[in-house]
Amino acid sequence: MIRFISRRSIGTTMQAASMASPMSSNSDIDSSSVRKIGKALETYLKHSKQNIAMMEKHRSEFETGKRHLAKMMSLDIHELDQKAIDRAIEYLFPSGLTDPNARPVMRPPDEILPRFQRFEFDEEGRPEGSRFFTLNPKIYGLLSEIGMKTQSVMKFYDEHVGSRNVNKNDLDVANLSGSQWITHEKMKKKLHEKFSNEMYAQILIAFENLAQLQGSSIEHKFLMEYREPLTASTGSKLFGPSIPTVQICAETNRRYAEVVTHCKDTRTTVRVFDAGKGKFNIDGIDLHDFRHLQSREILLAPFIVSSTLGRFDVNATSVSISAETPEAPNRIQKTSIGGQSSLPRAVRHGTSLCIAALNPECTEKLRLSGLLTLDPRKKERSKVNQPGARAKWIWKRR
Amino acid sequence: MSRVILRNFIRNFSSASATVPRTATTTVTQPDSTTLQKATVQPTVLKPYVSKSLQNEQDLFGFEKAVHIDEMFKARLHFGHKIGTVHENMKWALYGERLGVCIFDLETTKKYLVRALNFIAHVSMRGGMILFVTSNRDSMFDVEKAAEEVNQYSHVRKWQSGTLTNTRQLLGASVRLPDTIVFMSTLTSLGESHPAIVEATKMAIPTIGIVDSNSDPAYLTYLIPANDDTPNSTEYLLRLFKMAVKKGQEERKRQQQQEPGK
Amino acid sequence: MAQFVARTERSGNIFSRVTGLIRAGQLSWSDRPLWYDVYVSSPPLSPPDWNVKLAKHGEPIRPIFYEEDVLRAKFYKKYRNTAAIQIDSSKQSISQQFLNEYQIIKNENPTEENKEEEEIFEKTEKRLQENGITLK
Repeated sequence: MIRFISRRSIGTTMQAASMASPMSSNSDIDSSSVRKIGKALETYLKHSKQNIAMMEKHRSEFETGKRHLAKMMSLDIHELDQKAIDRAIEYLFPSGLTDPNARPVMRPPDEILPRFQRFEFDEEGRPEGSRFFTLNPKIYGLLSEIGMKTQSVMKFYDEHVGSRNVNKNDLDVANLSGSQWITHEKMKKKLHEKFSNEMYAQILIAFENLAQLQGSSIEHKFLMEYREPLTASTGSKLFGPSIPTVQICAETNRRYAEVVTHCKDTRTTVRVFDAGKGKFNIDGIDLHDFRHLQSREILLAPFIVSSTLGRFDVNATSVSISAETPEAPNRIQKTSIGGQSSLPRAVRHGTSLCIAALNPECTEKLRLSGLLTLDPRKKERSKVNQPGARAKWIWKRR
Repeated sequence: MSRVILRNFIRNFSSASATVPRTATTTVTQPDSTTLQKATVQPTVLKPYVSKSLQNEQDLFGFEKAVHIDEMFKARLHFGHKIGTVHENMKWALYGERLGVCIFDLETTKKYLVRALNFIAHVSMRGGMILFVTSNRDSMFDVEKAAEEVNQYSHVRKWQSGTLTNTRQLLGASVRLPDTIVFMSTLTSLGESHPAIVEATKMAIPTIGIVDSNSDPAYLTYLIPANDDTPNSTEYLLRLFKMAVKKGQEERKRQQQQEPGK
Repeated sequence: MAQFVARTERSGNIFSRVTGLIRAGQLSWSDRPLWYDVYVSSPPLSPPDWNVKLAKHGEPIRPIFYEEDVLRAKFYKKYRNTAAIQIDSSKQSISQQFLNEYQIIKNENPTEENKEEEEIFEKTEKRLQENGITLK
């Protein structure tokens, strides 16, 4: 951010008085502190002040908007955090737009409005960064860094090839297998600077040149900073919660994994313990207490697929999602959770993820069987002039 | 009567805001019209109106002693290009040609180099921004490093037309422009004059340029006729420039510390 | 508009343009640029105009030749395969050593004026070979 000019009192407008002459006195400096700022800085400061005033106005508008929204949703203003605001806006302005960034949003102006400050400069107006006047300081800085490293690697190799007091691995080409150069967008975010596709191509050429040099393994760390794993872009990312990390229970010293998933309107927290007997405890209900055979089959499915029947113990607690939201029209807590299959399905999803965490060999099997994917379907809302979501009244031709 | 202030023309800080605090006592008034008219031909006429009795001191930083001809010879500053490529306006700086290679007169070079170093030191003493420019691919990293070491600016890449004349559009806001531009090599990799020379002249920014025998010395304020291609010569010249800037900055610090102490 | 006139680089060098603006009152004395004072106290040795024909414009460049060059040419014509000259080393090159030896021999017998260059040449060769320097 701009550090404002210190109101250091500077001398008068007259230039002629000499510095070293004994006649010079400092008594008038404080009285006539006329700070002559360059025109460039003046206009910048003017714009900066205007911007600050505008942001203040927007911020106060946001605050009043929040109060109105709380009144509309019959909530307490203190309950209205950003998540509640997002839900309220989604409810009030339902949008069919596919791009989440295109949907209506209500956020503090600092997050949404474009930032004014483009570059920093110090007290005397000197911009920061010695490559400032190249107009793309960070990109050219990166290119210069690559160039200098190229030179140093070549020098290193020429000096040490054939010599005994060097690690042989250092003289090899850098091993960058299993990774690829980060994309244009990611590099923009990393360097906080926009640049053209041609520039990106230049950077890649420079990187490739460095990477293929003999002895470039000494710069392996630098190269890997700009590389991402190959799988990152192919999207082997799971839809829904990812596989959790394994933890150790303090009292019993057993490994366990915990995950929070949901299915339809039921949100569950599932905890799977290793070194178990195959016990189930879902909201206090045992496996065999589930009335329908379908439910029991659903719950056992991940163990059958991964052939780990009887190895793990499952604990789960559940809540109803729609009952949790504060703006639910009727605040009466539902006692029963979900229906016949939604609770078992939620627990099944959680169990599969936990088994994949505790027993990584069967991850692929579980993924192929589709047990690791979240089912995003929700109950469709019923529309007016119809009995339900899709059902229509009996249609008569005449 | 209202004065028209040229907002677009003068982009850098005026002398009043720069450097060390001025004192209030005014002993000399502004120069009058006739003096100014004479000054366009003979600048030293304005000397009494100009700030600081330090200006009257010749060679405050002692560059005359810092530059030695045998050191310049060892740094190969005297090598020019072949006579086929010589620029008509550079013949004044040549000692002659030896077997087709132009040789610079190092006495002349020393004179001009001392002037240029003195200029750089004084400008940096007054808090000026210095931009180092080169298009020579071999020395570009050295120039960047040198500029960073002395806290100044460098530009060793392709020059975007309008960097100095059109900052508002390119940068989004007007910026303080450099007070001096030092060209380590006045030609681009295509063999043409560097576009920054003309841009700097347009914006009234003084330029210091190392002109080789094939370069055009037009528009450059302070010339240094010397070799700009070999790494030895660039290293030597960068060392001298760094020394000049550092000396100016140290002098500035010293004077600033003196002021509050009084 | 004065600002456009001031930007044209060919209307005058930067100092004359700025001084002109000050004289015309478009730029106040206190607003003059940072480098102005430095320029005034030590102006460049030739004003930075673009359309000036500097000294020796159009004249041929004088070739630099020394008297020893004749000898050098002879030496190199005979001995083409001498070692490469190292500029930075303090050791003198073979041709330089040859010339030094030539000068010594020439000055040894100042009375005899009819010394042929060829003779001195051959004597120098012998001298160098005696001293262990091989000429190829």
